Amino acid sequence: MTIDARLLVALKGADLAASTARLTLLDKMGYGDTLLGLRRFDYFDLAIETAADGPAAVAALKRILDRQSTFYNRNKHLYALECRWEGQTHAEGVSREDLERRFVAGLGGSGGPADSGGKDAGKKFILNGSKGFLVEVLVEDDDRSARDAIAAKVQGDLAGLPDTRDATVRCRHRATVWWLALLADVPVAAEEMARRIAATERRDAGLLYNPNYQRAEIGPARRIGQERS
Amino acid sequence: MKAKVLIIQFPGVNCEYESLRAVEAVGLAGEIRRWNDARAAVREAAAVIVPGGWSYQDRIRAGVVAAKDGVMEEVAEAAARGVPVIGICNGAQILVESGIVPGFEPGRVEVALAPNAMTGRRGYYCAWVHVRRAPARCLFTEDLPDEPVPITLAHAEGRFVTSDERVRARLEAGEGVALVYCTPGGGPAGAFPQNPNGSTLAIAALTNPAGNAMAVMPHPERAGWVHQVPRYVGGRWGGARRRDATTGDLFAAGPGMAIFTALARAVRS
Repeated sequence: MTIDARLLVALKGADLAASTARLTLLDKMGYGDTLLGLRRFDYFDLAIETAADGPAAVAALKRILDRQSTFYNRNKHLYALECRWEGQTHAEGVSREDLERRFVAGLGGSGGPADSGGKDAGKKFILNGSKGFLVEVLVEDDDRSARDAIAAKVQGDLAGLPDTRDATVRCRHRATVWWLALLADVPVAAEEMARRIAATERRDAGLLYNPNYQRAEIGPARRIGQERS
Repeated sequence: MKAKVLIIQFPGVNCEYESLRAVEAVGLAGEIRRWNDARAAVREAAAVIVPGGWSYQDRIRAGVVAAKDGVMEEVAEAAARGVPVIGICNGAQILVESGIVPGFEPGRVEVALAPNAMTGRRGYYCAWVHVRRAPARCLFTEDLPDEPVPITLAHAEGRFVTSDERVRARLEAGEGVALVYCTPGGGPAGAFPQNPNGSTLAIAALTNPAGNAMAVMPHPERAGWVHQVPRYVGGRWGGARRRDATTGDLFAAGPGMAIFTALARAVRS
């Protein structure tokens, strides 16, 4: 049986890397009128092959995740864990939808571009008028070594637990996920803007990844408040 | 009045004073200026040093946030005018993310300094290694002898890499390659630790086509005096270190000083 485990981890408190990215985009790269907000996550996508039944394997995985700080530390991180196997699902931590609600609630207020020169009220109005889009950007190194190291670590730890001695683990993604809240008229414009923000092609264009050693997946733009399909 | 070498202090850098010391040792006047107070100074500088450290705490990606600062626009223009510009370690990452180096198409980010790829370990690596001059003409390497030069490095993201086949072909032809890692005997670097970060073509430094801007991952300013060379380094520099420990001449010029003597000659000319 294969268990697909997807883990999204964010800091509970201030994320200085995300703040720096936001301020760089607002103040140095000219996105002050279009970037509503930005959030950053660590993302892990694991495939676990085991003869153990689903709930036992998920319990073993959860024990490993909880007892070490490789993935998250509950004192300082929020996390959303989703496990799927043979048509069943198990979720732990904050749901992804709740993470999204919290993110959207902060837009245009203190959690949004608070230093955008008094434009917050206007942005909130525009947001309520549904011109805001959420675009997810997944950034990952081409080099597999970080993914292989994570897989080896989890597999080694699962081998030490009675139900999952036989488990083999693949790490499909070990990535940084950015959520961008953008003002645009249509989804395709928001996606194009996310592409320009993400790919560092020139000194004056792009911030979030360097295509010479990283790759990105840019998700479809969704109107803020619209349910994920 | 001596022409000034401008050393740009981005938040988080920590090698500005070593860089200033090396500049002054070759008879140049240097000045450290903060990044947000340096634009006008860049226009008047005889040369620019972007020193090592962790600008902006390496947030997002080493060097990328500093590359977006307005002062780097001035540095790019200075490099285009022929002003000597050297980026050391984090400074090299900033020059690369600014598209100043290799600069085949100025402004375009043609390479990256990716996380080190090392056998059996990951992350930060600090060691003495050997480099030698590569074919590309670069004013900073003109005083280096045609022999392996010991030099120290300390970084987690020092692997020059490109995804652009045309850029790679030009690098393979020797264009833009100023320094390569090598064995202590001067032979081509093999795997780690001779090539300490898995850099493409064992590249340790890249230059722009005009040869006046260089992004170098090892630290020449930390190899500027004999006393900085460890005793275990072989060859004539290790020998000098062991000998000078007894003769007291530890402040004789070390292997990295040749980068700064070449800079001094370029500034004076």
